[in-house]
Amino acid sequence: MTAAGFLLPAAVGICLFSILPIAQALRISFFDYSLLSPQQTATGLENYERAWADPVFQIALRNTLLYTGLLVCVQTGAALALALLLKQRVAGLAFFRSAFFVPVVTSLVVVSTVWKLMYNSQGFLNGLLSTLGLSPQPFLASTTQALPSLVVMSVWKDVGFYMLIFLAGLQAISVELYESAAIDGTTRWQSFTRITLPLLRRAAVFVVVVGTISAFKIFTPVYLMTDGGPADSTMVLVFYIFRTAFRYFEMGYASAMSFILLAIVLVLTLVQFRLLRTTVEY
Amino acid sequence: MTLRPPSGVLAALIFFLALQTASAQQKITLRFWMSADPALEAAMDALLQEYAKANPTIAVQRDAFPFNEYHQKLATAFAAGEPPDAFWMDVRTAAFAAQGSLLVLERYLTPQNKEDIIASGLIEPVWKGRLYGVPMHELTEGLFVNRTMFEEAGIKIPQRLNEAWTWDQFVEIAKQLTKRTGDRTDVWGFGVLRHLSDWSILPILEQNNATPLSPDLKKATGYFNSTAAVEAWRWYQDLFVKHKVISVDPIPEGFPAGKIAIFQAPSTYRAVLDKRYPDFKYAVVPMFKAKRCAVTAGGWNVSIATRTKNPDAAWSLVDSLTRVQHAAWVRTSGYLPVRKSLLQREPTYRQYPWNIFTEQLQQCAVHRPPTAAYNFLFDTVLAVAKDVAVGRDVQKVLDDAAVRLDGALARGGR
Repeated sequence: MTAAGFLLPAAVGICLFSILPIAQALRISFFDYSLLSPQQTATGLENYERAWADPVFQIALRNTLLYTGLLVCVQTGAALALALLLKQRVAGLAFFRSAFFVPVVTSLVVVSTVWKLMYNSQGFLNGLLSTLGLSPQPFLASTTQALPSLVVMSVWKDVGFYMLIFLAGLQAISVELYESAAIDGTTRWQSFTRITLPLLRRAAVFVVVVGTISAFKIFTPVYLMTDGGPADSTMVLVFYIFRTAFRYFEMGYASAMSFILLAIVLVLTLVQFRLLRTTVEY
Repeated sequence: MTLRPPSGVLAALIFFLALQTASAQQKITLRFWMSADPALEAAMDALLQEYAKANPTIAVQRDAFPFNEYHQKLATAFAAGEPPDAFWMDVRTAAFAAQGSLLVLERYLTPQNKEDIIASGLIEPVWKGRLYGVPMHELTEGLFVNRTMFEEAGIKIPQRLNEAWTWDQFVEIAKQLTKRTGDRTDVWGFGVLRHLSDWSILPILEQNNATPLSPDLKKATGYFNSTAAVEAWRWYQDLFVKHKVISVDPIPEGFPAGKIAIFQAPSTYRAVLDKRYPDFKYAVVPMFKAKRCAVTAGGWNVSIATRTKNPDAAWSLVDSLTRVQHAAWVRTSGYLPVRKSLLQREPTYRQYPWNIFTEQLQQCAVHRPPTAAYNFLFDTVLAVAKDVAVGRDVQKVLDDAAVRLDGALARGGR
């Protein structure tokens, strides 16, 4: 009874502010409902059927998957590399750890605005290329460079956070294991692949799963930097859902797309948990 | 012992409370929303103070939101069932009217009142022949030129509408004024305040006798991608790609900073320049023209929510802002008059440089299509402009966009 009493406030909060709105959104996804009018017309699965036939939805889905794949691969690799570097006893360690973490605590709106200026045709990056004698790049104005440009910015922004996760994982690995392996004559590469990587698996699961969920929700940089263009090359799901709901006022269709996104993220997360699960203990 | 107040005091207290309650019941509070802008809000507050003096039983609670989130805030307020009583509305009137959110105002607007409004002011607040708003003012565009650069280059500055440059003349002047050092552009010949937006591009289409949508606003294919539209978009693309007289990325404050020689901007830009850069030497010239002159016109109207509990009081506010205090509003806000009586009465609007805007307004005004799918059209034109500016195939970009627009128009703008 006491436990239930303690749980009650949190349970009520979750019901009121999470479960009920989600249930309401699910209900709306089966209706034709404009934000400007209280009138709702039941349409069955029409909104879901429309999503699968909508070429912009398909482009947004493809771009989101591409962005997520690129981001998670680059981000995880970079975070692991940085964690391995910063695990060494090098001068200025505290400074580097802080420096890599500063972008994480910086507002994404600020970061997006600054990077937009840097990617500008006359911005810092093109100035740098020009100084090096290289030709200027269109970056956000190019259909092939815009999405990778967003990936680069997102990696810069979040790599510090994932680096800390890996760093914590690395510090939890007993030094004795490496010493024993060294006595057995293993190379550094063998130590890395046979000891470090298997024992970092739990940290890696966290990094990949959280990174994937976060990547699927990309919105702010697209909203501030590219508006989904050029030629829909950065049109991603959450931005398209936002635009449908709050620019075109089609709440029913936007809700349906939200639930498709939820289903995709759920399935991907379960697959990742399955693929990355570990029983390795030394 | 119990203390009891004297009966006279008790009676006075009851009378006072009753008086307060009656007064509170009679006093109406109207919620009024507008787009945020410090100068406009100050001008609006002055109007509201005058309104309060004339209407002591009505209190107005004014709120303002930045333009980028204004319509979204409004939509959310409607969804929550708590819209403001009266509010600023623009070309998106149709989207709100189509959902039954706006009050039809014909029963309030007298024939004399309506007759006083110039034709251009009665396009955007009308949907399916019904009036859903009354214009506060009109807004149109012109070309602002750097007088020093023009004098140094020995280029004559046109001061009348019939002296407007043709497309070819404009390109030659913009090329002449563009200055480069190697790959770097020091001065761009041309720039646009509402960069890549439908507001700025629509005149180019119309100057070539193209329109974005069919006359009934139901179809884009055959109009958005017509031969005339493709020609106009190609001319626009050449400014970026072939002649390189305009930057793809906007250059903030580029005109007063001397980085842009000719700047396409709304008529209200004059007030901005005069206030922020009083020493900057500039002149206003008419928009360039092709087969005909064309320049976008529009502005804020005031609408009333269907759900208002006080439609008559809301109308009295609308009437005060749009008719009674119209002269005060345009004088302090920097917008153009929308009423014939004021245009005739005030000679300033017939003199340079105002004459450029007022003549354009009366002879060349074109309007953004007042369709319920306007937001979709706006986003589509912006995306097309970005693609065209970076050199993508105009015909393909327009064909793809027209198909999408057809879909949005068929869904009734939803």
